[in-house]
Amino acid sequence: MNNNDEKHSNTPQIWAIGGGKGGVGKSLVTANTSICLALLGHKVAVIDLDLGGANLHTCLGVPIPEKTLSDFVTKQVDDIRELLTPTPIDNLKIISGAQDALGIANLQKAQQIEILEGLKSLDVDYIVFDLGAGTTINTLDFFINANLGILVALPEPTSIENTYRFLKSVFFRKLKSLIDNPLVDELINETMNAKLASGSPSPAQLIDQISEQDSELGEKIRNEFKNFTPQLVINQVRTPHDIEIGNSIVTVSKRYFDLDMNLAGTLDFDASVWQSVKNRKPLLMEFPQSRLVYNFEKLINNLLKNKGQ
Amino acid sequence: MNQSYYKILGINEDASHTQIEQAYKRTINTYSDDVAMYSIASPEECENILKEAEKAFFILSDEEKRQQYDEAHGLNKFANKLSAQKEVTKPTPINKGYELDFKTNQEFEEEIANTTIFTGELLKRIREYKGMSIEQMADLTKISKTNLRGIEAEKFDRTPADVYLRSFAYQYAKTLRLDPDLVGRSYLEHFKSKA
Repeated sequence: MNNNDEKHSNTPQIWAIGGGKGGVGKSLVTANTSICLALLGHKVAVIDLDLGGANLHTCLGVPIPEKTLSDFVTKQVDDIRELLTPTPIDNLKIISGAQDALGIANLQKAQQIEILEGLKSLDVDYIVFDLGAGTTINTLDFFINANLGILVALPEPTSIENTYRFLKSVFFRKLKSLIDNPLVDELINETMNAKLASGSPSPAQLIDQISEQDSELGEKIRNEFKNFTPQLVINQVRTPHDIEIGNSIVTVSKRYFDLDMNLAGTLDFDASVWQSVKNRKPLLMEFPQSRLVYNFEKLINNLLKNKGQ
Repeated sequence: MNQSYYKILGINEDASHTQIEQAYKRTINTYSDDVAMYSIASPEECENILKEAEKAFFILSDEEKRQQYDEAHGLNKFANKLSAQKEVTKPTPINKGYELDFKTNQEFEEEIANTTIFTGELLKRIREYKGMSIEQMADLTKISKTNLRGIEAEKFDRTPADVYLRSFAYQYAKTLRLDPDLVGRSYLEHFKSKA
């Protein structure tokens, strides 16, 4: 499906940026990724889906947008283009999710599709989602349906734990959407409810089990997952070991989730980040000399290389 | 769980030697990293995976053994080549440690294999032989350089408690792919007998 999108240059590429935990820097990564893309000459719309904790506009240095996606869902706004709010960067516009968390957190499937379709009709090259923390159905669906899913994590035990949890949820959500089979549903529920570190079968083993019972189905699932390559970004890196942790997460997700992740980049810890958020100015614009700018360039290059794979 | 050696290292069956080495290194680094592993697998499970990886690398890194393994498992892409090279190559010593890049000295390997008491002096010799610096080891074990040097010199400003001392020696041994239990125990006994 990704390949098809590639051929139509007028269909925007969707990048979804998430991470299991709050406070890992999703908004910051989203803002600066969008800025990088815009500075490279692409037209970009960045969408704040971090409901409840929407602060992307602050990272981009714009006031809270007046109209939000909830207005679109509730039909108070017919044309999704009315939601586009300009930012200090030419090619970059922002759409705010909602200030009232309830509206979007409980989207129906039909509304989800409506939003996705609406966004895809925008005259932009890239749509970048800032997903909220946690693993609600909507967050998972936006992540799965994106052309590129990007996960931000910190090299800390709690964040890593949440990253695994997010991957596990993504895995099962995708699996459920692929197969409609009560027996498989039961297997999924059993594995899903088990603790991460318990002796229950890992998602990877679950696919093996399915294959044993129905090799055709197993093959189908493997094929669907083959092109699914979540991109990992490790934020606030201080030591070489922190970078190693990124590689470790990739290794673990292959073994336990049968997911081919890619360590797309690491971002150095940089105190000026906090300064720039305090000043409500985008980091890349405020501190062009920061090592982070170099980190972001490398990250975006990697992401552009991996898009549509 | 009975996985193929390729699956254990997370590589394809046509992986090159370099890919096998990298995969092995990655596997060892991952499953000995408590920060990355604690929430997903128990220490015992990690230990098992490390052992499996060790076995897998022992076979797959040796062209001859790999061919035999492939044959036995119906991965016979090397089948034709095998008959052409019947000579048996020397087995690689199992503790040819891996993140380690060093030239095997058979004599010293044998000395290590026959040792039952690992002194600080011997550990230092092994570390140097395997080409690992104190800095690298400190990075891998998270033990301070001062304490690592202390282990080698068997001298500390303030001697750590027994359990730490054993744990230091254990970690030390692990990075050099020595038997950590034997090293930890014998080092501690030796250290205490001296005091």
